[in-house]
This record gives sequence, structure tokens and C-alpha cells, in this order.
Amino acid sequence: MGISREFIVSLIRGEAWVLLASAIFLLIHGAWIRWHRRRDRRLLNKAYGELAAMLDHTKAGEREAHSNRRRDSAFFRGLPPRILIKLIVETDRAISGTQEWLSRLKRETGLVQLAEAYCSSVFWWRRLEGARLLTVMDAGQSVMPDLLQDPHPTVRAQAVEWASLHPSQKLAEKLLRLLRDGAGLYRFAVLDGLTRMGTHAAGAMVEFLSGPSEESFVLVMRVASSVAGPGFLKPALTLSQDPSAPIRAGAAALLGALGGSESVNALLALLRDSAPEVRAAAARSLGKLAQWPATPLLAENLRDRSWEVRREAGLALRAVGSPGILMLRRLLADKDHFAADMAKQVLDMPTGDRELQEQWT
Amino acid sequence: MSWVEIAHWLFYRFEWVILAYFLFVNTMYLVLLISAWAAMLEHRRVVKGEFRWKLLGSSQIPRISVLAPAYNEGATIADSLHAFLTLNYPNLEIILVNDGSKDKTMEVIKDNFDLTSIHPIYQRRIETKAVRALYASRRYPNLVVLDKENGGKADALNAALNLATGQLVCVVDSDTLIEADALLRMVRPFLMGENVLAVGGTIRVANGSRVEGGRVTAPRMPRSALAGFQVVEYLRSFLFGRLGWNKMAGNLIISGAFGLFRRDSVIAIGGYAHHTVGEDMEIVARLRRHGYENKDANKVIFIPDPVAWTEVPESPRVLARQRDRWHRGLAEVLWRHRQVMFNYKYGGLGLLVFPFFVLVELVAPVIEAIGVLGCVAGWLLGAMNVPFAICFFLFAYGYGTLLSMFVLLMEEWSYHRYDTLRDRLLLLLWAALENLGYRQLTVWWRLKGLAGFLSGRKTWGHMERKGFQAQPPANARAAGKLKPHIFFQK
Repeated sequence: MGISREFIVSLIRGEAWVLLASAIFLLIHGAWIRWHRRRDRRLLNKAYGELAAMLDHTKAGEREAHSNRRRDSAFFRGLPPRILIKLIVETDRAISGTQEWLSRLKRETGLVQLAEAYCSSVFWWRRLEGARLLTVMDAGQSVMPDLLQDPHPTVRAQAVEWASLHPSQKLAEKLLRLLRDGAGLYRFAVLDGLTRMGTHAAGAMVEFLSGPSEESFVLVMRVASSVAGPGFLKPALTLSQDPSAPIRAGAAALLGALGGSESVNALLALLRDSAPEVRAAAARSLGKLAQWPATPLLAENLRDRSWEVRREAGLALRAVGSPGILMLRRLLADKDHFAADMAKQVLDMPTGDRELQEQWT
Repeated sequence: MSWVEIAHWLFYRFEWVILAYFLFVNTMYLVLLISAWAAMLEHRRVVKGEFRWKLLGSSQIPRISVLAPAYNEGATIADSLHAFLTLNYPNLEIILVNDGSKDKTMEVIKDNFDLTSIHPIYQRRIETKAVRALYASRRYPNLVVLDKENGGKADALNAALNLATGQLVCVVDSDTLIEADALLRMVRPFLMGENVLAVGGTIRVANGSRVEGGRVTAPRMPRSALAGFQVVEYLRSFLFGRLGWNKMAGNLIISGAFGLFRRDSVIAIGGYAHHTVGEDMEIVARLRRHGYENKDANKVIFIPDPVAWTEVPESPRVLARQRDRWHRGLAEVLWRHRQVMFNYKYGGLGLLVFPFFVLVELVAPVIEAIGVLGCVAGWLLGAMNVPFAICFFLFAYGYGTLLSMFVLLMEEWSYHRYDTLRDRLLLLLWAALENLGYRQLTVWWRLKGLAGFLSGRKTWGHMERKGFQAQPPANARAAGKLKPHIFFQK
């Protein structure tokens, strides 16, 4: 069976046509992009000029301002959405006193309605585009909360970002429920959103942590440590007795952020925990609180078989101050070589450039 | 039967094997190309309108430790470090490892970065050569310098791994030019998924581009043909070869010049292996195996967005050494992890990725060389099957040119980095000419690499670098001040 001449000719012809078409597209596309960018730059510059002129007009009389507003709106309504969006994004944060004007612009140009329409598209990338637009324009209160349940994780993550800019107890509760939902593909977005919500999310987090313990508690406690409100004390104390070691370790970190005598007592008990990560977290927290009465217990932890626990205990002793340093010096002659070695390493750290040394411990 | 008849009979049987092989290879490439386009489309949709700068204010973002080994880099180390320190990422530490340099690398760093001794307490979980000293910079608190005895790149990286405090580690070459927001892009898969083990980014050719302050400010096509061919090659390798695997079973390689890994996973497997010239591929293979064997994270993703730029060899001698080493490294790694081949326990890695690398990447230069030699021998013996020869060239080289063209289209549509007409015409020219000489040279170099592996050769060879300098703009050439170089440089 041979290869026919017709087959070869058609193969050559096919390859040649594809190559030629690709080359032509490459060149034309490049030229089109350049033209497009130049045009966008011109339009944007003109829009900035109109904006500046419009801001000047607001100083004029009421009747003149009203007719100028109608003319200006017509100009901005004629701009392509991508130019409008760029203008809004760059102006919103750069120029003060434009919020009222921007809100009006978003409504009158139909940009908000367009974005809301995108949010109900069957295509996830359209919904994502709509969600991003609404986040930038600080709008979409009627549609964005629903996108927290969107089937596509990237859209959900964007909805979470929007929620973090509109902190409320109700939205915080919704975010916490999302943490439970399986794959956690947007877990970072939820944690970041809760952190940005700050004290607005505290109540919801306390309620969440007071429920039956689960894996996601570790992450929520990390966020709670940055908020550190008094309401977290009770759930933290409860969770310090949890059967799961990572949860106990998270509770130790949270107690360290909260402080107070009850926290300290719980942390002292956790220094004897069965899990090394919990003992290490407890030691770290006691060091942060500079709890000098904990010095004898921390010294015992310097004999721990886990390197991480010895390290944290050693650093905690150093952080405590003179009593801790005294204890470390005593441990230099300890029979336990691990303890003596760690004490030496901690004491060897120079006292100068303290900030740098603390960063690199 | 006469000799001619015997030769005719042999060639006739064998030519179908060769053609069938290239049909198989081209089918695989077609599947990869479709996968790459689908992945690029999805990726562009995800990043369109993304507000990456918001990550700069996040306290939840994982810490990244940039690990940069350096050996005799006194001429460029200050600029490189300044470039790393100005990366846009909120939670970053830079660990520069001076691997026993014999030049003034340490002196340059001390002079430029106001170093002070530190004594951090850290666990040396991976054995390395002795660490002489550790320094932090008073001026840049997130920079630490580790001065150690010479032990090679793998050893230097392992020493940095011991010291790193980030959840993620970014392994770079100290002369790689990383774009300012590259890390913000690279971290995205880790934020979005928990099964991600490592992320690789695109490496582009910096030759000919304008470089200022450790950043490529104006990408340009290089003047030399050899570097120009490599631009096309790199685009094909990253935008098609690696991106295509994202949707299929993940990657087996992350470039040692720019990759982001989970630190705990790398330490769990004992860090980088010594005594291999393909340490970047070897660690990815080992990481993925470990992930499958321990039911842990095992996905290796490639991101087309974040870009690092590197200098490629412009001398055939240096390029030959590089390609020889790369193919030797490939063979070594595939041999070292041969249990993965066709092993269902490793999922897509064993059933698809590994066989592809063996049957296509490793073996292709052998088959191609046989095909070419077969045509030549057939012509000399008067037994040449002309239609076969034409088909061979159309399948092997014509299709290769088509693939390059589609990749250039992808680059143009998605990134449009080469902005000028001159650069786009040069891209087309090198894509068209690549298969007429340059490709055959790479086949020869890869065959030498394979032979080197079979003979047990382990050397790295000496790489010469010209270094980055601010390149003059194209109009200087138009004014006749510079002669264009379009032929191979000696």
C-alpha cells in the first residue's frame, strides 16, 4: 500500500493554508490591538477631562449645574463599559469628593443594571464579570448574597470578597456556613473576608465556635485570634479540652491572643498536653503573654522530646525576661542534653538588633 | 535477492513504523494543544478583571520564602537581590544562599545590604554542607543571607529549605528576572485548592529585551537566530506543552528557574537530590509520587500568567551543552522513577504523563534520527521511497511548524507581549525556519545526551552568561548604528 500523490498534495496544501492564515491573523491582530489601545487611551483621557470640567461645574449656580449634568451624563453614557469601569476604579480611590457623582454615574449609565444582568447569566464567566463589576462599584445588594451559593468556586470567592466589604452579622454567618461546604476551594476567600469584616464578624464567629466542634474551627480560631474579642474566651476554654489536637492547638493560640488569668490557667494545663503541637502552641502563647509565673513549667518543657516544643519553650523563657533568662542559664548545666543545647542556642542569640532577632526566631 | 532489493524491502517495512510513530506523536500533540487552548481560555476568564492588588492587604495570605542559590554571581547579585526585594507580595522573605563563591559575591552583598549576624534557632531537617554564617539585613528585614561551604545547587536549596519559615517556597535562579506581580499570580492555585503541591510559571527569553533595575521593561525579540529559535521553543514548551497537561493529569516538570512549592512537602521527601543533572524534574517526580503514595496533595499546576525572564545561550557550543544536560537529566529521572510507568497506583501520572515523557520526549530524537538517516540511506542506495520521505517531512517538520504557529497565535491573543511589527515578523520567521536546521541540531544534541546517560556521564558543563544590560531601542538599529545579527554567532 503506497502513499498517493493526491494525499501528499492535499497535505501540503492544507499545511500551507493553515500557516498562511495563522501568519496573517497574527499580524492583523497585533495591529488591531495597537489601534484599540490608542483609542482607549484617547477616550480615557477625554473622560478625565470631562470629569475635571464637571467637578468645576458643581461650583457654578444650580440651574447651570443642572443643564451641565445632563450634557455630561450623555457623554458618559456614550462611553464603552470598559472605559467607564476603568474610570470608576481609578477615580473612586484617587480623587476625594467624587462619591456622589460616581454613584449617579453608575446608575445613569446603566452599568449597575448591566452588571446585575450578568450575574444571572448561565455562563460562569459572565457571572464572575458581573460580580467583579458590582464589587468595584459597591453595588448589587440584591443579587450578590445569592452568588455566595453559586456552583462555580471562583464566582463564590468573588461574592465572598464583596461580602467582606459589606460587613454584617448575617453575611458573616453565611460565610461561616460556606466553610463547612466540602471542598473548601475558596477557603482563603472566606477567611480573608472574615478577617476584613473584623469585629462585625465577631458575634457570628463566637456562635460558630460554640457549636459542635469540626475541622474548620482551626481556621476560624486563627481569624478570631486577630479579632480577639472577650466573647471568644468561653468557646476557647471549651475547645482547649477538645479531643482533636489541632483544635486544642488553635485554642491555645486564641487564648494567647485573649490573655487574662483564665486563659493563662488553661495554657498552663495545655503545657502538659499529650500532643506536641498543643504543648508548643501553649508555650508560644505564654511567651507572648510574658507570663513569668509559668517559668518553672516552661523550663520543664525544655526537656521535651519534640524539638518544636523545646524551641517554643526556650523562646518563651527569653520573652518572659529576667526570670526566664535566669532559668535558661541554670539549664545550661542540665543533665538533659536537649535542654542544655536549646538553652545555649537561645542564650547565644545577641541582644542587639532585637527586632531583627525576634523576626528571625 | 540483490542488496538493493533487500534494502528496499527493509525500508518499506520500517517506514510505516516511523510514520505510525509520528502519527501517534502528532495525535498526542494535538490533544495537548486542544487542552492548552481550553486551559488558556478558562484561565483568561478567571483572571479578567481580577483585583490582585487586594491580596497585598490580606493577613491570611501564606508566607512565601524565595530561595535563591548563588555561586560566583558577584557581577549581578546586587541587582538580582534588589529585584527580589521589590516583588509585590505582602508576606515575603528572601533567602540568598552563597554557596561557597570564590569571587566577591559575599562582599558585594555585605556592601549593599547592611548585614548583621543572626543566630536563628531552626531545625536542620535535611543534611547539607556546613553553614558558615547567617546574616539578616538591617535595611531590608525580610532578607537573610546564608553563607555556606560549596555543595552545589541542590545542597544550597536544601540549606535554604531548612531555614525557610514560609508555608510556600519559591525556588529561583539568582539571575532570573521575575516580574513584579508574579508571586501574586502564582499563589492563586494554592488559595483556591488544597490538592496543589507545586505551581510552575512561564519562563521567557530575555535576550534582546530592555532590562532596567532587574525588570524586563520592554520585551523584544533577540537579534540572533539561535536565541530567536529558542524564543519560539520556550513559548511552545510552556504555553502548549505544560499548560496542556493542566487539564489532563498535571505536569512532571517545573523549571528550576521559577517554581513555587509547599515547603512541608519538599522537606517530607528529603529536599533536592544530589547527583542528578535534572534536579528540578527529579523533585517534582518525587513529590508527585509521594503525594500518590501517601494520599496527599499531588497536583502540579502550570500558570501561564506569571513570567520570569532568563538569558538563553547564544553560542551553539553552550546551547549544545545545555540541551545535552537537559536530555541526560530527563533520561536519569525517568529511569530513577521507572516504577511509575503504566502503574495504575499513580493514576494519571503513571498511565498518561510518564508514558508520554518516555515514548515521546525521550525517544522522539532517536526515531527522528532514524527517519532522517533512513531517507538519506535510501536515497544513496537508490531505494528511497519518495512519497514516504515527503510524508515524513510533512508529519515531522510541517506539523511541528503548525504547532509553533498555533502557539504564537495563543501568545498573541492572550498576552501580546511582542508589540512591534518587527518582533512579530521575526517570531514568524523563526517559527518557519526552526525545522530547517535548528531542530536537527537539537536532535543531535539530545542524542548525545541520551548516549551520555547510557554511558553514565554526570557533568554539568560550563554555562557562559553575558548578563543583562540595558538594550538599545530598535530605532537605534534603524538609524544604522547597529548591525542586525540574523545568523548563528560563534
